[in-house]
Amino acid sequence: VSKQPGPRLTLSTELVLRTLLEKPTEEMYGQQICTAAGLPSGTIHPILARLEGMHWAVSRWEDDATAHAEGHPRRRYYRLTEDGAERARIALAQVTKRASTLARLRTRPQGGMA
Amino acid sequence: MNAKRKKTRQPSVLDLARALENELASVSVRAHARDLAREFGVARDLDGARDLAGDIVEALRNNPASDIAGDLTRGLCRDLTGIREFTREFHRAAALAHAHKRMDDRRLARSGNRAADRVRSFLRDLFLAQNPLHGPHAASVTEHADADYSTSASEDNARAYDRARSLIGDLISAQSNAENLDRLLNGTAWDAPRRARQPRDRPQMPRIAQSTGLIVTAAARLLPRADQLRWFEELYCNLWDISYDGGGRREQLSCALRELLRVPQLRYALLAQRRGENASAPGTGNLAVLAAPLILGSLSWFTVTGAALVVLVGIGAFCWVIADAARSARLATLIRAVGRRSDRLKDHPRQR
Repeated sequence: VSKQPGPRLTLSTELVLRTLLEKPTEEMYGQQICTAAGLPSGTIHPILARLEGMHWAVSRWEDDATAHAEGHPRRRYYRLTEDGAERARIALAQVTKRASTLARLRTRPQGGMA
Repeated sequence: MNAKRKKTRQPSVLDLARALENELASVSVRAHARDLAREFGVARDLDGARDLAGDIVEALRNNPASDIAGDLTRGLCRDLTGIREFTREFHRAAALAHAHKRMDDRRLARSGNRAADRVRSFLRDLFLAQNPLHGPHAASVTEHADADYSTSASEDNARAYDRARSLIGDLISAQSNAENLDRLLNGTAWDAPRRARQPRDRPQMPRIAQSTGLIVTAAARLLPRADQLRWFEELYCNLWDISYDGGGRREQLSCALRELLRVPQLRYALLAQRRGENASAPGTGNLAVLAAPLILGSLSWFTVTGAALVVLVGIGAFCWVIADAARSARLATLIRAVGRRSDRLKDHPRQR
């Protein structure tokens, strides 16, 4: 795993990463990712562009022939790279660890005057 | 002893030859008789055939076959004319069915049903037209016609028979044409109302609202030039998917606005990607630019529209205030000038 810094893990980024990590070898297009991640449509393109810029994800256009046969405009398919998937797993694990630490701190009983 | 021997002498060769000759003669007589019998049979058959031919000729003199063939020919001619008319009708109906695909379903159904009735009646007529050759009079007609044809007793009848046969061929080909047209009409005109009545699971041809298309185009134009085409296609495809999933104009507009609001983020990510920087660490200036779209993007469509209206009203008010301030500044200058003049008058009252 390279030492390249990762993206800011906002909630949307985290959801997108989790969606792509569910089936790392499978390619997904924009609307499909939105639906799977439970995000409103039109919100994930900056995230995908950022992931692609950091080489965590790669994208390709759908074949014209396939798109024509299925009767829709050609889609842009995204999938995580091997390195990206590994880094995403690590980043998500760290986020989960931080979240659990915060949750523990919140639930700690308050000390009082004797 | 010698006398006995003389009485019982063996038959001579001559006797044997005579006997053989007699035998041969009887055999040849029998054979001749058989031949004669065969020939007699043939003659009898020929006589019967002659009688039969005479009967046929007599029957043909009475002319029932030619009458029937003539009736049949006339009927077939009439049917053929009808077939041609029906074929024309079919072609017209099929063309109408193709041309009126997008027209009113009820009208299409009505014309389709009318065409269907015509097809059915036409097929029935065709069946009836062919039936004389298989019906109750078919045997007699065919018999007479065949006999007529085979004996060549009447060339007119043979010609009529030929014509009838060619007409039947025409009828059969016309029937197959009619069936093809029937199938064609079944596949187009009659399916249209049926399809229209089916529950609409997904739209057949997703339609993207013009306004959303314009917004997406504007959003793509705000991106770096090299990436405009790619992202326009992708954002447009996103809208298409929304429309395909049953999203109406409102959903499309909402999505297009969200895409437009996220254009600064996307632009920043693309520029950072080109520079080879980490897009996740924008500068403070960028943070300020990104904050507003992020907040707005998380709001609902109505809130976004309301916020846009508020912003517009704010801009209008600001312009009005600026104009008013300018007006006020001019007024203040005037007041100040008047004040200065009055002060001068107070200081030098004699100048008045």
